Amino acid sequence: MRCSKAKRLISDYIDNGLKRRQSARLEKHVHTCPDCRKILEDFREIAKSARGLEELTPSHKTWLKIRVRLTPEEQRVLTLHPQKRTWFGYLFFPPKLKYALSAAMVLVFVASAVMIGLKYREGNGILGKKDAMKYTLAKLDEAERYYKKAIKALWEAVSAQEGNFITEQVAEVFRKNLEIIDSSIIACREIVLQEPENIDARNFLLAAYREKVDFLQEMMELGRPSSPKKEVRKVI
Amino acid sequence: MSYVVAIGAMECLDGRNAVQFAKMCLSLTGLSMAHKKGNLAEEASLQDIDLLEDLINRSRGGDAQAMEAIYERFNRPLFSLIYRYTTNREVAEDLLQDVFLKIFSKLETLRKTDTFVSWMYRIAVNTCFGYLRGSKSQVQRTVPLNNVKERISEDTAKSSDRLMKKSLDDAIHSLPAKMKTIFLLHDVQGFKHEEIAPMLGCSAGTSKSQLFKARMKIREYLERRKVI
Repeated sequence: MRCSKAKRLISDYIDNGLKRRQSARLEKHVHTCPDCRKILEDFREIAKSARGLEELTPSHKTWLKIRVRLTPEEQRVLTLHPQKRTWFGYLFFPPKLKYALSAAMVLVFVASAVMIGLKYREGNGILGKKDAMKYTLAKLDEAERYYKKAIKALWEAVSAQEGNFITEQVAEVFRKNLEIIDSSIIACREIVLQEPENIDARNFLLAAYREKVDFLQEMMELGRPSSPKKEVRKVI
Repeated sequence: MSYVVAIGAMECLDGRNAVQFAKMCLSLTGLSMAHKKGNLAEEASLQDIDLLEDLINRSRGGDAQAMEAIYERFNRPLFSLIYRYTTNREVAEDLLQDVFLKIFSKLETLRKTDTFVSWMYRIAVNTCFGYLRGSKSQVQRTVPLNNVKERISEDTAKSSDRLMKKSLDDAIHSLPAKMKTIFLLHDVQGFKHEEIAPMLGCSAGTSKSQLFKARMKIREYLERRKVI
């Protein structure tokens, strides 16, 4: 066997791709030809090292990016890591029901807020000034409770949808905005605790709660598959 | 764990492709049955083929969990392949995204589910070819000799195995696109010529001759660097 032919067969030989007779002829040639033997050894070394090359792992974010880029039709079924639901979540699932409940709660609050305003005005005439103040504070407490319930319900609803639509970038904006609103709520509540009769502070607190409700509602709208894509509003 | 199955698969199913398939299929599924070798490994592989078919069918129906399972199974071998075309992690990750988006969006067009793996690789290779066509980075195929000398002196401290792998990676990068593809699919990923041929639209004979040329070029490269 000539070296030129042997060289061409070596590649197949190391892959067990030669017939027995061809293999025997090649082995015989390699035994007597140091150049071809060196090629055979080198090819074996190359093939062995190639099999041992490190298998690389992409970033863990790659799948998230693929999910985001899938068509809306496919996104709807993307419940890849379903979030653990609370008892509240089970009670008011699916999100549509939660949304309806939240909307109802907000309506209740609006009604109570109107009542507060009316009673406050009446307080100067029908009720005494002290009684009017007590009544107003009680109503403001009640309004705060309603807001908290609405926020809780909306939060549940947003959380149920979050995995389906929020990109990492949107989630970041969402978190930052919520942090700002929450810090406003905390600051207002501190003032209210220091000055319980300060109606302005109470109004600011309720305004912060309302801001949070509005924001969560916006997030709900953004999360609906049918809703047109719009930018997340920045609070500040 | 998956390597135990891979050894069993090699014994039972003949050849490195079985090893590769078992590696790909079982690497992330966590099948505990892999602790036993032999017949059990063969059963595991067969069950996995059924499982893969089920995942493909569910993905066609838009089941995102099935899509993620397919991604989990194949992202690493595909990423390794793509990375060796780009040698840039960010670009490779972008291309990997494109590949999986094409896979999921074109899954309906796949007629036979048993050709899924080679079909998927064909998409990956074509995506890489598209990238190479659009990229001008191919100009830097050859490494100046001065750089090689510097690298050799740096690398002497490293173990010979690491040096070999690093040099081999460089050598692969220096190959022309088609030779590189065949070398990567055959020697790195473990496919047979008969499987590579339909992936690349060439004959098994062409695949063999290209592999021979690729190995020769790599050998020359490694000899220049005095690695072999």
